[in-house]
Amino acid sequence: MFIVKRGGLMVTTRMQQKLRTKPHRLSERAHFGTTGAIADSTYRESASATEELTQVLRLPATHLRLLRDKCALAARVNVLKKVPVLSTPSARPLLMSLAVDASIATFDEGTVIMGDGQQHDGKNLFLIESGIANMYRMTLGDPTTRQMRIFGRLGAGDYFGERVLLDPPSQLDGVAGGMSHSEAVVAVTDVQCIVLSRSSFDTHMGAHRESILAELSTMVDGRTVGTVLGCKVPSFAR
Amino acid sequence: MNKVLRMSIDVGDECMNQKSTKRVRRRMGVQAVALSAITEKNDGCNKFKVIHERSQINFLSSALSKHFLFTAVNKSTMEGVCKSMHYVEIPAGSNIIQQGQIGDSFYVVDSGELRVMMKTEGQDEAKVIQTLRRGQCFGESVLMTVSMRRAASVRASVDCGAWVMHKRVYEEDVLAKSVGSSVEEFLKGVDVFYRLSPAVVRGIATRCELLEFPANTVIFKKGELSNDMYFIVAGKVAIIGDNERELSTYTTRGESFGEGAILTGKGRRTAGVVTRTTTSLLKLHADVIIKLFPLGVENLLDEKLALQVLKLIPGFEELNEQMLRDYGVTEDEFLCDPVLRSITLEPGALIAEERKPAEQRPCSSSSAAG
Repeated sequence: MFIVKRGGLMVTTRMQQKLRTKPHRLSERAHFGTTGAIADSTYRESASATEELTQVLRLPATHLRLLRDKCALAARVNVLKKVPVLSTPSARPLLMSLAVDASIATFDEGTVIMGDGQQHDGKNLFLIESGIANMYRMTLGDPTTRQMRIFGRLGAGDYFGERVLLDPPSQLDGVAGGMSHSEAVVAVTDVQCIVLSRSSFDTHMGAHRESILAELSTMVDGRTVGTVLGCKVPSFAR
Repeated sequence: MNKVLRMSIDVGDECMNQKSTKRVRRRMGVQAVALSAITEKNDGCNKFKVIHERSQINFLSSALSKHFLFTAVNKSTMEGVCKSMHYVEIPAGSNIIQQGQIGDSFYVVDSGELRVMMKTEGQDEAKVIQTLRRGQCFGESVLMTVSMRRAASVRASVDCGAWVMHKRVYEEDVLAKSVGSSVEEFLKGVDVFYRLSPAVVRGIATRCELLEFPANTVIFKKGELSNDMYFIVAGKVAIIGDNERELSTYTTRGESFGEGAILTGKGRRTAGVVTRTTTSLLKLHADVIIKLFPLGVENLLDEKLALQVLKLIPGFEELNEQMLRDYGVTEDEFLCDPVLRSITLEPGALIAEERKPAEQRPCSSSSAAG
């Protein structure tokens, strides 16, 4: 890609030349060839200098893509920081390695993301990037009349299934884990999530689990971990 | 004698002239014996300290205190620094330092005459830019930059003597002991200077002038001759173009203007600047910058421009200096070529053709800055 430092560039395509439309001009501080450089390293348009002593800065496509990937990773780390468990002093330095391991998952409208014996149960923490999901919970009372009710609505920036990060692996066995089996999360619109797996968390942060929990409880100043997380995540409210 | 020889090899490792290596070693051996000065070994560093005579210490401290990197150093520290320097002889015709090589020492000329030669891209021969004599210093670029790359070559025109200071001595004795000023703290946050070592920032801080202007003061007019670059500490300034038209305003702390005067070398302002509110500015003379980065000023500003432009592109919002440093501007491992290149074009020159792959490296008339 190029950045115009001094002077100007004239940008045109073959189609525009055929149609004899006026080429457009890039002045100082404009950039050229960014889309093509990121996509497939080919130029979408031709560019030539318009005046004497035109100076451009050139950044190779490979480096631009590397920079883009690094930025995406930094953005993901920023999202992860919003989860209280991951924002403790012990967890912060490890966020970068977690972010590298994290994957992106998309769910169509109406899909049960978690609960009800789904494959993700007890294995992943989900952070919603876009879309809306409903959180259902079994009502209390007589077992015969109990039913699933909408308990909360989750949007961009919300997360669920974080219990996989807090509980030691042994305690999770047998629980339809991450959340109790009386809860479920269902996509209301198409939902895109960052998925953080329990195995990746165990690898990078397993050794620090105790200190993370200790810091979390001091961070919330006396209140229990459940109450704090409960403000955001209903599964901890009990 | 064994120790003497080890010392001579140690200090001679930067002599690039292979032909004279044998001679250098022999001569340095003789020199060390003549001083009969090897007294102690620094723990684990294989460096030998030399006890200097009083006159030599006085000479070194007066030479160093004239150098901008050492202006803020107090007397006792200076004496310690001088004592840790050692002597080296440079035979006529040999290069004590070579442009582009990585070095770790700073030199003070004791006797003889040395020529500073710099080769810029597009030139076949290195040009002599300065002649150094007794009391003058060279090799400061390794103290100032992280890359520790030599900015120029220095060749002895006659047999010379010089005192050598290791970069580590400077960092441990001078930097660690001097107290950081508020100006220095401010400069550390200025993005143009992020790539510099703390040493340079300290050097710049001692040369800066902090000025306060009331609102609506003209700092400079278009076309005026001037050599200063300014950094905003607080307040708001407006850039004024032709017909009193306001081109843009700068309010961000650390933002700079007036760098054009340094880049073009003509010292004519391309636009005027007026304060809008009460404004504190840090004024830095162009000479300081040119002296600090004889090759690198443009590159620093290129990075600043690239950072500002890239940050506006979707997907690059999180970009910071550190990332650019890692991927954008560090030199290519194999080609020793800065990744961010400045290319000058003739009118009508085609830099990109539709549907053609972006070349890995254009061979056009490009001028690397760095």
